[in-house]
Amino acid sequence: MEQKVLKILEELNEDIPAYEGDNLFDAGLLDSLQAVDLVGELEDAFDIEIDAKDVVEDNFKSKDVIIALVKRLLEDS
Amino acid sequence: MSLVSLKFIGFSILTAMVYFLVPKKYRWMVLLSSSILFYMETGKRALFHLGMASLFVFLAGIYIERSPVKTKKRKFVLIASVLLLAGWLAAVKTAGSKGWGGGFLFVPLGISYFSFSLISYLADVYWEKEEAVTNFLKFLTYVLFFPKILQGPITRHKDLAAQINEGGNLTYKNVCFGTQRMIYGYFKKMVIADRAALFTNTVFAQVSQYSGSVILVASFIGAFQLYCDFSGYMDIVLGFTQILGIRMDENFDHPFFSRGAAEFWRKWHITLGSWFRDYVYTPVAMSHSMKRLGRWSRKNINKRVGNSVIKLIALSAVWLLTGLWHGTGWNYILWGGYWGSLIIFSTIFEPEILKLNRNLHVHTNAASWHVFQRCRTFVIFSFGIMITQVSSLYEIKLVVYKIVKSFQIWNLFDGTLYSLGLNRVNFNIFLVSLFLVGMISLLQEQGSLRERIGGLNAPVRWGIYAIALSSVLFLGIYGVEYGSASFAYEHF
Amino acid sequence: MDMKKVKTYAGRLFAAVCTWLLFLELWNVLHYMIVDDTHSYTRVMMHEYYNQENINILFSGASLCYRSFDTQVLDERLGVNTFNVGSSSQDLDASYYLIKDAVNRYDLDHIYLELSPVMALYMDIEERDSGKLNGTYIVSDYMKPSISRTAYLLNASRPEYYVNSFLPARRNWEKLFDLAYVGALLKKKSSADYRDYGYDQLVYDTEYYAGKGYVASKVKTSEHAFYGTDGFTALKVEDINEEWFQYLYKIIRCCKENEVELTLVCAPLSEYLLIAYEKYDEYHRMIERIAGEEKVDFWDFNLIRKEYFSGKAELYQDEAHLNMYGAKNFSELVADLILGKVRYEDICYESLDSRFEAAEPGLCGVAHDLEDMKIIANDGEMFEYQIRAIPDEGEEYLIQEFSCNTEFSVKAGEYGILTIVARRIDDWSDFTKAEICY
Repeated sequence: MEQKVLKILEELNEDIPAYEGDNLFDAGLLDSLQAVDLVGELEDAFDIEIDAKDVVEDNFKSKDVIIALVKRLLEDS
Repeated sequence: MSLVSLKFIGFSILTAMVYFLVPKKYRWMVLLSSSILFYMETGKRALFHLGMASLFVFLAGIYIERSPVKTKKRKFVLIASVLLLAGWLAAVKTAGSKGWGGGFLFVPLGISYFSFSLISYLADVYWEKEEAVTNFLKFLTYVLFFPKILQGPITRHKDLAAQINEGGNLTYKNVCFGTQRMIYGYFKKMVIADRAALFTNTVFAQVSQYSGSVILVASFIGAFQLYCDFSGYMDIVLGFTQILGIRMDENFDHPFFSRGAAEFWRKWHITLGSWFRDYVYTPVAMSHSMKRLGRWSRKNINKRVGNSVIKLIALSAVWLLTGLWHGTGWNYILWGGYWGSLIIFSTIFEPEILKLNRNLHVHTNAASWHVFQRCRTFVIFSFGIMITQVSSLYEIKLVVYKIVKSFQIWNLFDGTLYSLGLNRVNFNIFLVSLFLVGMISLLQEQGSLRERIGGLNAPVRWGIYAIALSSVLFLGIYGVEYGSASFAYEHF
Repeated sequence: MDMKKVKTYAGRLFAAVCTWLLFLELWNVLHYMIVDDTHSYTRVMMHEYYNQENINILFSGASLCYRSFDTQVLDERLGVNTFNVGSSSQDLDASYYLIKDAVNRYDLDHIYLELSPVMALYMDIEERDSGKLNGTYIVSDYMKPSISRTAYLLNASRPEYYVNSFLPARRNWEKLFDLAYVGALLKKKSSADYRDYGYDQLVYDTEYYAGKGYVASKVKTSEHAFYGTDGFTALKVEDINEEWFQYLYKIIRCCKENEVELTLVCAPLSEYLLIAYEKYDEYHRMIERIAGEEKVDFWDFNLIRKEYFSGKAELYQDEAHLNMYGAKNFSELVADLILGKVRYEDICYESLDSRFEAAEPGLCGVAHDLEDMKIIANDGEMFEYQIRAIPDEGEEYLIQEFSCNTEFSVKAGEYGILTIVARRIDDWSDFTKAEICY
């Protein structure tokens, strides 16, 4: 599952998987427009529903939290 | 109470002193009483309306939290409250611009800011991002908090309320840095913005009289004026809250260093942009209908169209509302459409734009290209300013005609520019102080300037402070000769 | 207490004080470069004021003070050190703060406060604008910094003028960028005369600064030829603002508390002006009443008998102010009164009416309001007037043949000379001719 997420991230922006920092938004590697694309891709790929309230910076600011979010939603469904 | 007045300076000094004399846990009460006094200056009626709105939202918040999740009632209360608040804002703004004021259509100062603040609070409670407040007075303190009530920043309840309730700490560093920041804000406002206003008011009052070159210059000056006015105000209020030991969100991050429209709006009026992102863009783009539409388009047309359709609709909503938030006249709708189209276009057609740049052999990493991009962004912004300054469709056509057909470039060199409200001395002071702010902005990009100043030798530091304060008093456009100037974003 | 903490706080306090001093010094430099006070009487006057060994007698008031009390004459006759702190348009608040400083600084015997009706009607603190604040600033700029001076300036104007009041360089800040102006000014200020508070720059064709506050004027008015703007509306005592009385009582109280004698004085105005005012007597009685209640002396020189002060036109530079000759006579008379050689009660009339009854009927001059004019005369109804105008550009023309009518006009914007012949109705051989520039 993690590999799938990383692949999606790489397609969005090749620098994202390599990023080890705290905040992709601050680093300029991700913005709210791309987040829309990302959410769509993740939903299609894992057949999950990502609610608007989950689309916050804290859930998308690094690849680890994104993976954690997907994991949580998979477990809930 | 105008921030550019001895009254406010006295008021803020007094508030700060009382604030720190009182034990930490009671400090929020000092803020409540001073905020009430501050806002009462604008009228008891405004205070009453604001109080009522706060009470309503306070009760709605508690109700939403107490209702079980995913019930229709819960959603209904949220939607109804948001619609009421938004509707009130819309009604008041429309009435205000048409001059109908009065009755319940009375315009309380700062309504554009606190209504958004209230909506964001309710949404955050609904989304369980934070807990509803159970102490009405503390909630009222947050809503009325005077540094942000008149012109923002549009704050989120959670962080600011926590700081207000806890009470700030008195530190020498905060007092020094905060004061420096306030002086810088006054400099931007009184020396640059109010000076620029003498020029732009003259030109935009009678656009038909001036050549294209003059109008263009007025737009550029207007852009700098608006930046210095608004960001100067932010420096004053954020500097003051820093003295209190409270940190509010920044509203500006050197926007004129942006290289594109989207980046610009992440650096200009940041809290407005992030409010629209979190409470309009994301909810719209992530709504079920949108996602269904997206999924359908991705499957049946192609992935790119699927994603683009969502963004198009969400961004259109954001920019229509952003335009309306700034003003209900048709020219603000046009302005919203102007920026909206630019951003939508540059977002959706990004691949094509990149391809074009490659084909034209543009060196996108070259410094010269970056400079070009920054100038381009600035010109785009200035043109937007022009749209908001003219008073009719006829005038817009006239302005465009003048720039294209009646530019009269010699007006830039024959002394005309010194006869439109600013004589040569004042015009030059404007340019020099603007340049100074530009240099300071560049330095700030490399790290905190105040820290750097703090590292200099004592006499040099003292000299800087003395000169900074003196330049505001000496060069500022204030006093009886000039009349008192209000802030640009105040009638919001 | 922790030594480190004390050091830190002391260090910070020191830093704050240094910054403040640097700030003030910066403004001093700006002041030096921009403010042209090379021709200021008060700059020199205030310097002299602060550097007296002692002052025995002080004179305070507006222009009727500093142009009337000749300190040299008074010093000679009285054998003490007199000083004149009068200044142009000095309102009673300025007088109050000057007097307050003087009673604490020097061992004063007596203070004479000049109370002209012009200034009484003029005082309106709320309405003070940049122009009117000039009267405040020519004094406050040269007062030594003190809490008193701060209180004075805070009460002297509306808040929007505070920066101008405390930081004079701000008033004409744009001048800093006029390099020619700054260069010339620095040159003037570097002269020894300026630095030593000399009088070279204070000498003009028509007047000069004579020392210790007194300014002597050489201008003489011709007989019957006063030309002023008063005369169209009578003086109204009701128009005097509350604050004038407030500060007057403050001055009286200050003198009492510091055991300094106070005498209220009215310097002699020209006959022309007294007639033009119409109700000067009301003003006189009002001050007389206050003086009586507060038990201070009141010398109104407008009621002095002709034998003691002739009040002829040649003693005046204009309808309100004495010239140096008038000032000399006046000061000698004041000295005599102070020394007790004469008593005020013996040398004055009971009222202005009594004075004018005893006075000769005669033409005093002409009052003007743009192109409208009015003849001012004592017992004017006893005369007929022939008025001719000789404009600078154009032919001489007759305005009116002999008639009792006193109101007339000239052509708008015209300048020239009026020739007026006033002829007694009952004795045509008794006439006076006056020539007045208009």
